[in-house]
Amino acid sequence: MPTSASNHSLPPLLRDPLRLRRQGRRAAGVLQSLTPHGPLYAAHLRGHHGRKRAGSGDDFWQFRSYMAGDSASAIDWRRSARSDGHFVRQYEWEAARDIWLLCDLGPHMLFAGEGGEETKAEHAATLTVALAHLLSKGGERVGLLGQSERPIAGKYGTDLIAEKLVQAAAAPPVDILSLMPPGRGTQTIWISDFLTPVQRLRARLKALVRSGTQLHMVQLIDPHERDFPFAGRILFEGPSRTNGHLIESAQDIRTRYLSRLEKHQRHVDGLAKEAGASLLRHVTDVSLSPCLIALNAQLENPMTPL
Amino acid sequence: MVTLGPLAFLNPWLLTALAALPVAYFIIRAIPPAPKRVFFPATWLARDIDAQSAQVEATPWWLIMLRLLMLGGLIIALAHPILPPQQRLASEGPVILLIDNDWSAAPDWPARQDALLAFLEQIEAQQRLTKLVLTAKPVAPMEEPEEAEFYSPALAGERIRALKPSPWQPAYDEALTAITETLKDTDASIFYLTSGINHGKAAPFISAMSALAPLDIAEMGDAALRQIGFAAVKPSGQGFDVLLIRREAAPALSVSLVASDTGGAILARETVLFSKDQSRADATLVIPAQLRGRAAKLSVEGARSAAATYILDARSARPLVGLIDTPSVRGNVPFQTPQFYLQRALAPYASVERGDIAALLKEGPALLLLPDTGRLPSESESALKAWIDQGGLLVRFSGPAMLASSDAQQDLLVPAPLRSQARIVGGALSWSSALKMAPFADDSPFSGLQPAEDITVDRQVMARNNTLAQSQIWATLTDGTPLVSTASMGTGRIVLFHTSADPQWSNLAISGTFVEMLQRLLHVLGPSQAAPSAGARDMSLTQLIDGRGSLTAPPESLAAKLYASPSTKPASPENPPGLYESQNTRLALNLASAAGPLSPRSALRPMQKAAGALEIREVGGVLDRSLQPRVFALIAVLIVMDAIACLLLRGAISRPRGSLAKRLLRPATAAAAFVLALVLVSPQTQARTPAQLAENVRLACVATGAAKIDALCLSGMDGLVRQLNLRTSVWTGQTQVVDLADENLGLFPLLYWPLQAAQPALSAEQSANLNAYMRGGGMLVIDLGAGVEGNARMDTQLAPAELLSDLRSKITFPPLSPLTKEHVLTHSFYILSRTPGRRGDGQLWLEAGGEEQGATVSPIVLGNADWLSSWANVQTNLPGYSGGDGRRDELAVRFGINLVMYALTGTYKADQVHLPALLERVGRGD
Repeated sequence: MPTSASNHSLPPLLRDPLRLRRQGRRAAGVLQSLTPHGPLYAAHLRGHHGRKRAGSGDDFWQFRSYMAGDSASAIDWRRSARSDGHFVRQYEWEAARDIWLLCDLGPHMLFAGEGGEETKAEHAATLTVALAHLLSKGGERVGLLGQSERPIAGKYGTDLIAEKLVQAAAAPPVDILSLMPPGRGTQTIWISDFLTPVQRLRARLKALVRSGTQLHMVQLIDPHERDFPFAGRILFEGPSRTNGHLIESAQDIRTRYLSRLEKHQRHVDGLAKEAGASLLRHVTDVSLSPCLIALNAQLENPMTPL
Repeated sequence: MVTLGPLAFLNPWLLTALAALPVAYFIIRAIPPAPKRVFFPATWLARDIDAQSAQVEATPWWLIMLRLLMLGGLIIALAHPILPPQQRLASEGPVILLIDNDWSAAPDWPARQDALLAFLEQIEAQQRLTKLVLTAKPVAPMEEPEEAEFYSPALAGERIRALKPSPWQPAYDEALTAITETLKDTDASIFYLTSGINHGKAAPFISAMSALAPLDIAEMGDAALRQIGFAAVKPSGQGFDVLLIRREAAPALSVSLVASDTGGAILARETVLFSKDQSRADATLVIPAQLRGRAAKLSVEGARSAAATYILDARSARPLVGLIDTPSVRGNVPFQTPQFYLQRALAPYASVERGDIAALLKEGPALLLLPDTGRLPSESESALKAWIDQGGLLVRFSGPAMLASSDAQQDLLVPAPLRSQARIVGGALSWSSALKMAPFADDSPFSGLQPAEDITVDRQVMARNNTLAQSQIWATLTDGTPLVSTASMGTGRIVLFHTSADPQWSNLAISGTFVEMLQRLLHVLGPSQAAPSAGARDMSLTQLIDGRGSLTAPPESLAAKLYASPSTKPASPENPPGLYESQNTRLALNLASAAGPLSPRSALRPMQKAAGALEIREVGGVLDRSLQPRVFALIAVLIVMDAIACLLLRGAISRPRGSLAKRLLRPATAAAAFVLALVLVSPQTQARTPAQLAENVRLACVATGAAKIDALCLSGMDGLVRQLNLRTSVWTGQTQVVDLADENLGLFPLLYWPLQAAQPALSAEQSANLNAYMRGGGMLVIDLGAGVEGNARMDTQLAPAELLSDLRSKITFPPLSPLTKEHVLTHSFYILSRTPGRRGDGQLWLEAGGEEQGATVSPIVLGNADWLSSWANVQTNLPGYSGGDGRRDELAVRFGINLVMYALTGTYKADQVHLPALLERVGRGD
């Protein structure tokens, strides 16, 4: 009996949308308690972003001389009183972003090393829900790539995402290549372990980037995958389960495994750089909060104006 | 059989297989244990690494050793190792197996049988013949094999298995004759398994045998501990005085003496202690008086033998008391004759017979009671006197009749001549007040009893000239005058109560002290030991005490015989111990009886004394012991160890940090869940019994015949039930669909009927059943809108007219009126102003007059709002999230809860309707 995820049955978290939602919100709530002031969802994962041009918004952008066609109510009388002309107050155009979440729940994600509490898939799902929660609180429109038709703003969107994640977990895994690509101007957060052969990964990364989205990658790795703490005569079974791989003395191949893993990770780094995507690594034995904070920083990065 | 050092093997050739063990070593070495299976998604990363590490992990050496040990052990076990006896038998050739099978061998009889069978197995292995000789005659005669012939030990073994110990003493002479017969023309040795007790005459028996042939005597090890017997049993005031004897020269021992009734229920228990080297012990078994009549058997716990069993008969358990009828002027009126009081006092403890003197004397009573009477007719008097002379006990009570006759002629049957006048100590014309009883003297048979404080004596008869000696007085009043006096007459005795046996002269007769005194008289003086008058009668044996002390039906040969006065003879094959019966007598014969074989004088001497120079050996030392079972047990342990080791190697049991418990917990949880699922699922699949239905409050849907509607109804009701259980203290069971013809309709407080336009007409049975249901307090909810497609807000019509008219013809409807704001239904849990369902604010019709105080519960609720769909909706949606019609669904649920509350609590909340008026009145302060 190898690991808790050896049978293909889903962990309970991925079967119960309510529970998933609760856990996701809790993860988001930890972040909230960490932030120093106020109801800081907006401060942390902000939704409305100044577009550096005049438009509808809350923040002052500029005064401009009155032109024919401007409504009388648009005149800022206080400013106008200071001089002879009439001035109109303009605001910075603020708009919510569309953020796609792409959560990998394939069979290779259903792994938790011995003694591990949660599988990578559970971590990924929790992270997705927490992100969706925080982002939609911040006013962003959030969608689940491959599941949602379009990103939706508001609390309802988060609730839908938990349910859709559960549906996706139960359904056979979908290849990213077959998904409708996210559009231009969107941001995509891709949560996976990226422990797939490099060629395969490159193809999917390209397909995503080609659509014009700004990509953020979050790599979830189990401590067992990082450390390879096995010893003895072991039959390793991959996600396909068809033919195992018998290692007579697992402790002997540890160093070679680790070097290969390191090489693979370098490849992944290279791919991310190539695609202009940010890459965040997270090991599943620590809490999600640092990951969420780091992601926030990534999303806050200045982006190309439309 | 081959002997190897201290061991011997019955199948030694199998040991050659041990030579194959080195081969097995290499085979076991070559097969490594199964690998541990690990799910690891990143397996592909390590896929082509293994080429360099082809080194095979070998089976650990300790596992190889374990398996070799297992294999070797198996071979050795199959070779059947035995430990040969430390001591050899005296000779070769045929063996006469002489067995003590009397009662003293009974306590450990099964162990004896085992030892004998082991011995027979051993001599069978040595290919010797044998013959059984028993010292005591068996109860059921053994089928005798051909005379004097030796036979195979296997045949002897069969006999041993069938043999039971006999409940009497051994007859050494007969056994010696049999042995002499057998030895006439053969050379055989004798093996004697003795019980270890010399029943007398054993010494000449043994010396005669040892002169005839080589003799081995063996004995069971701890038999002595349980060879205990009754030597004497004497009924006493509180129970029984018992003398127990046991084998001499044995260590200290404490045993339990118990009295049980015919059903085996234990009535009393007493611990008896034998100190070291003490072979007899006295004990008093105290049995509560009420239980004493039930005592049927005394036995020693743990010593199962005929000697350790003492059955009781009427003589010891329940004495026969004769109560002499005296002519009475008042006739036989209860509460007015002394006989009544005496009978009531003694009936629990004795068999009381009433009759005239001649008839009673024939019964052989232990005691005769003679209430107040004058001078007896001379023939009766002399018969009575003769009976007393022979040891009878006569108890007389005084009274007016006695006084009346005492002038004329001197009564013979009194302890002392009496005065003709009663002494009146209390009453209107005397100075003194009534006297109380003095405490009993120590030498009185009543000593230890406490006379009740409230006993007073008004009158008593007095001895003329105070001729009573102090020793003759057993009880006195506080002024020292006698209350009970006695005199011996021949070997018997007369006891006189100086007051009456009825409440005329004293309230003694209605006190508990009177009962206790009579009880003492029954036992302290004891029944006369004279043989029952039915001495010469022939009796038949109805129950036999078998060798192990149980009462059994006797075998044909014993039951068929008639026995003359069995109780006077010793227990023997001719007079087996047990219960004998004739028409109205029942006698017990025990091993312990006056005639023997066990009596206070007998002793159980060890056999060693009789054996002289011959050594008596422990039987275990003479037998060989098979080691095969032990080796097999060892192999079983090794197999378990091997299994655990394999699991450890495969990783099924993980060694570190107690996650074993967690892993074991998981299958346990699964099993528990499975059982729970069975429990939960099974009632759904099988029809429920009325009892199951009645366990919980259950709601029901009326079967419409349309599967879709039924399913809708069930899901709707389930939704409602869930909300009910969540929000109210109503705890409802599983909803179910019932047919209207179901006889258990009455068990559902509420029936929901999603009535369809396509409803088939009700059968006569269904309508009768439904009418009965509604009459009997059930509530029928008819929903005409359930399951109707389309937006029904449009049609306001209640129902297709023809459907309702059809129903009206079948069902007795009360007059209906629309639901008003004042109706109890709107207040029974929530306060509602509307009752919307999926189809809008459907109007609701109920029995007219429901808003009045004290109105009955409407048996019918008619509506068309399709609440079911709303209820089902609430169930399927997540709590907190409401679809399009959240408010409406919530109101529908509230209505449903009100409906159930209304069905369950009726008009309990009717006063709530008037609450506004009440509050207003309070506010006004009047």
